[in-house]
Amino acid sequence: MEELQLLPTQGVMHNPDVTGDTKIIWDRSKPDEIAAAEAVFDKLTSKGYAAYAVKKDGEKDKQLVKFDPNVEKIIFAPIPRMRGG
Amino acid sequence: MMTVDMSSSTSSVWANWTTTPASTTTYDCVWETWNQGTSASSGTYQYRYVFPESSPSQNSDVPRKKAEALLCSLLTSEQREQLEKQSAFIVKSELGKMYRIRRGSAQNIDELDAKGKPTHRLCIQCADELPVADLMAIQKLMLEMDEARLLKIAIRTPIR
Repeated sequence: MEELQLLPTQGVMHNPDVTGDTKIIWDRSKPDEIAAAEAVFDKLTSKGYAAYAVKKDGEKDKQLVKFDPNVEKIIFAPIPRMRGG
Repeated sequence: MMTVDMSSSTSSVWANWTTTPASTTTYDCVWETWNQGTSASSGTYQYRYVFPESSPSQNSDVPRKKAEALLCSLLTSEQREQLEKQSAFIVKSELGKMYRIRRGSAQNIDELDAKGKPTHRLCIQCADELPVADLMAIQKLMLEMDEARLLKIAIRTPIR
């Protein structure tokens, strides 16, 4: 599968799901895209999902409680759906 | 794309169509091609099946591949090599502990001691049917940035 190629001005959120993942991409220079991405971020975190920011090379960055359009990549974890086995 | 031409009476057309596995055709393309291929002649009809080019098994591999791509994008080159050769990779956690995440969806996290020997097994899963690589990615991120929460959710058992 081809690696996702982003522009230097773009960030991406990955929400892992049954399809593999759903991606939301925003351009930091476009307020409407930032707003749309933030809306998705707020919707998922309000449901209890955790948001982890990583750098472009995959190195850990920080856990987010508020959308930060300047991070490079965010991966969500469906915490309410996680359980011990 | 495979095309099958068949001539038959209407009763055997219906019998053939209803017994065709749903995985090999779609009803809309069957109807379209049947309409196109229909010719009325003394009560017999000619019809064709058109099978989709890609099989459902190929389509069902997409989630796995997407999840693998996401997981690999989060790994260092060393971790990718570990995963390829050992089906597992080592992660240093937020609290400074070492863990090994093995490929799998149950009891796939080993807590390691200072010598790299597994001391405990952790199991944390998702109720949703995520591809295995997605779960492993989530486990890695939680260990690195949210270890306390992972330890609260996971079942941790000592390895004897």
